[in-house]
Amino acid sequence: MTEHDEFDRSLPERLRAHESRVPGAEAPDLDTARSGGSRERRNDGSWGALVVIAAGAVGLLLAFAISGRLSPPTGQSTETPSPTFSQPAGHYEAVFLRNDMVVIGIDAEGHEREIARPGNGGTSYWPASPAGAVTPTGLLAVAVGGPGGVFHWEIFDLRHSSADPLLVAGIAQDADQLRRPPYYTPEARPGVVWGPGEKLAIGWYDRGASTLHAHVSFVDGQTGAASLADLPDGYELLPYWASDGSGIFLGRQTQAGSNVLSLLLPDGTIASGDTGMIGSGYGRRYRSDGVEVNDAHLPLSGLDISDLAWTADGDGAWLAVHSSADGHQLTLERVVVPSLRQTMATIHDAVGEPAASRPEGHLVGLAPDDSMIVLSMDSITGSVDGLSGEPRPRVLVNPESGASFVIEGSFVGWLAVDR
Amino acid sequence: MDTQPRTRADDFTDAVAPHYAGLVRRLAVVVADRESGLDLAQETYLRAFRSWDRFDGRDVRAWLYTIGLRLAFNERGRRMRFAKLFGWRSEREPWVDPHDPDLGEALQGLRREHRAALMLNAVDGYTQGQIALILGVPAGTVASWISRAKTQLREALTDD
Repeated sequence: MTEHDEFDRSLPERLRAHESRVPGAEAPDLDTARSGGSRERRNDGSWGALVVIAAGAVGLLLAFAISGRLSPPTGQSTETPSPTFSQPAGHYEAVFLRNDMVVIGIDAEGHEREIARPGNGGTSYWPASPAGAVTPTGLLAVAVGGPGGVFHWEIFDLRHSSADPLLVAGIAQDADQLRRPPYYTPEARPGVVWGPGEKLAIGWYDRGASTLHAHVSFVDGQTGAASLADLPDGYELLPYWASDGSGIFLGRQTQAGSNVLSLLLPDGTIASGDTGMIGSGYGRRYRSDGVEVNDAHLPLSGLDISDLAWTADGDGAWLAVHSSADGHQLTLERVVVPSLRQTMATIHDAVGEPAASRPEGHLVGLAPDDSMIVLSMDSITGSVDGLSGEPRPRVLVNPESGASFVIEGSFVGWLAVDR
Repeated sequence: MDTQPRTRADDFTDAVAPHYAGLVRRLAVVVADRESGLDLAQETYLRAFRSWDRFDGRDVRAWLYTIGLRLAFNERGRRMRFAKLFGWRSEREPWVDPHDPDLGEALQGLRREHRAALMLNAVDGYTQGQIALILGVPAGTVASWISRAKTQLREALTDD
């Protein structure tokens, strides 16, 4: 038996022994829990420390308010950030894919139009929740499957929907890699991201391998020509290209908990991540200057935040905020540095339904001009089986009017349109 | 003889309370902090009670893990960030086994999603598909997390 095998064999018992040394606890009394939650019953001194921390945080926020804007971390640019998604100007439509490859565009007032039905009449098939990504100029990359359940990628030109699609060579994926559209969530692997010059990056991993072999295919959206780079272990593919189109950003978490950015180039080289960043429309975890959005930089204390993203101009954040004062509520809010917070829309309101499940909102897409935001809603239900297989509801929000629309289909990006 | 009818709370307590200590331990290991684990477990317990009518009655432990681990993932490391603001440094957790001291440190070096997936698989024996249901991510992602967790632990704990 090799040392490798011996390690794997002994690991479960070592983990079990480690966990068993953690002191357990008696289950709380339900009457107390129902009357006011759990935290109030704890009185072990730690809350005193938290009060000190909260006071310190308030002091910091006051300092931020006095200085007029937040200072980025050491080493970050102090210039006013440019919009993170410098694509063609004009109005946008949110693009959704529905079963049978129907491509739908939806404007900020919730009006739907059918854009195209590419691939009509072919023998290929698409998964129940089609995976894809569209450029503002109308190139749509879609995962296409065959009877064996092996998927590859094709690129359709929505400007010429009768034209044959381009086949992206060298990718074979299982369906389970494609069940999420390529939007950003904290734990999700972004599948496919368009960058400057109609270049495409597709992250994927080998089928059926006992260990993970992850890759990124760099694709020319005009020709379909692709090159392959390995995604090194420990790196996370991020949905952001370098603004000069030289590569796509990777994140790597350090043991101290910070996230270090680097750049994966098409030849597999990993370069430093100090290049300007361009957004993909699926989320804005980072600003164009590489500053990550989080509550260390914004006055978010005391909020129950499901998800957050920078605003388009980089001076504030969009928040999906949960509250449970009277049933469960999920709201879309905007925080502007230093302290202005404004509720833009109520996405979910379950007042009077004490048994309602908690909604978790994720900001899955932000239009380049913030005219529309797409959220997904997840909820913790009583059924474990109920957590999979069902597409999460997508809600399109117009922050200016506060209107929201439940949309069927998979969100794939933003299309620039003339009006 | 006790003639009082059983209440919803009685049913809940009978089913859930036996798993509570294990839930605290698991959440403490996943977030690498017992106090946070205790907070999360209490919040889990409360939410589970509120959703008790929706529970399908099959696997109480998996259901509690589903609620608790997602809460742990959504916590966003707030405690760690506040601690860093004031220059606090994390201390070695007091429960670390003196016979296996490096394991605790190596576990703390993993991302909490990776720790959760590894514990569910290696300690509880859940399959990757079952873990995908609990954590709400694709099975391929679970495979990736487990693989990376094992690789990182192996590198930290062996001489290879």
